[in-house]
Amino acid sequence: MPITIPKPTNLIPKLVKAKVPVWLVAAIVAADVVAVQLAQPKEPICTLKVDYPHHSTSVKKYSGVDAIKVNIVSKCDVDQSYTLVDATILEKVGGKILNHDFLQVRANADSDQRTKAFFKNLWKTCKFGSQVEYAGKARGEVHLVGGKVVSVSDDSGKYFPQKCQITAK
Amino acid sequence: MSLFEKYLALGQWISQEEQLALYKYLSRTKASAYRDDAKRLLAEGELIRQIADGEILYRVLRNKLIYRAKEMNRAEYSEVIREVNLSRFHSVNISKFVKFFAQAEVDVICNYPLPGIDQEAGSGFNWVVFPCYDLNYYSRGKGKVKGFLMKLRAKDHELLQKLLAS
Repeated sequence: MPITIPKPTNLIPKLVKAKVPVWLVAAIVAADVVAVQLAQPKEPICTLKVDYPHHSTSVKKYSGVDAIKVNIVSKCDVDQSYTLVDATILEKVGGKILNHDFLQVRANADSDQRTKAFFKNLWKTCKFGSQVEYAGKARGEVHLVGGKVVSVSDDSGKYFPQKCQITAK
Repeated sequence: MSLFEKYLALGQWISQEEQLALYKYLSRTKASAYRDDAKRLLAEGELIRQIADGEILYRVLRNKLIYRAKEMNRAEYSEVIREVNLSRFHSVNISKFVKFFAQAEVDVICNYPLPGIDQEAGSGFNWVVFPCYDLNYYSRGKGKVKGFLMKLRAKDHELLQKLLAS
């Protein structure tokens, strides 16, 4: 004869009527909650990492110009198709904050690390000499394989001094 | 080595501002070649071109012009990178093709440079969402009217003059 196991929640009123100990009722409710949570699909987690803007020796070496560069990477715990980003270098000059915006960029997922997308070409020329403080910020969205879209944002935190000024050029 | 040939090897070391200069340079100096390619593409539906270390596959699909790209030593093309809607008018389409070809070549130069200069980690294709020929490029997506006004005020990057003079 087949045995039908009733849903835990259906048991609660019956258990209360039967004067079952409270701890047992609590345990059944907790088990029910855990079972429901485990049945839910896990939400993907994506982050954006904005490094602090820096006077780039690589840009100087290869392009021959002084530049402030910012490196940005988006990373998820699942494979992504691409990330769209709006990035800004913030320049603190004389107590004012000046925004140096980049055009919106799309970066396809890295072919070797499909959970990541790397952003390139994000630099602004500057005039070497004066010490100026910079921070970076960016926001965007990651388009995952499968279609889900996750919003991301980050900033480099505090301002860091660099010996090159974007607005002085 | 000419200045343009130097830029074919720079890849990610080309700034967004320099990309616009490259686009204008290509639009002006290769306009005739691009028009010939446009006619061929309209007649045959598909066209393949190489620049830097990349290969571009252009296709006319229904009423759209699209391009896909790959590195020279790879077998498969990327998904569609850019697309543009075509007009009913032939002369308008030729003009669109010229701009589209120039933009595609800039994208590929930045992503698939000739070997010789170290590129940092990351192999995913990167591109500026608004193409240089779109007024939204100048307004950063805030509309074509604003873009038109910003374009009127924009000054050419010094790289353009250097490329045209070289």
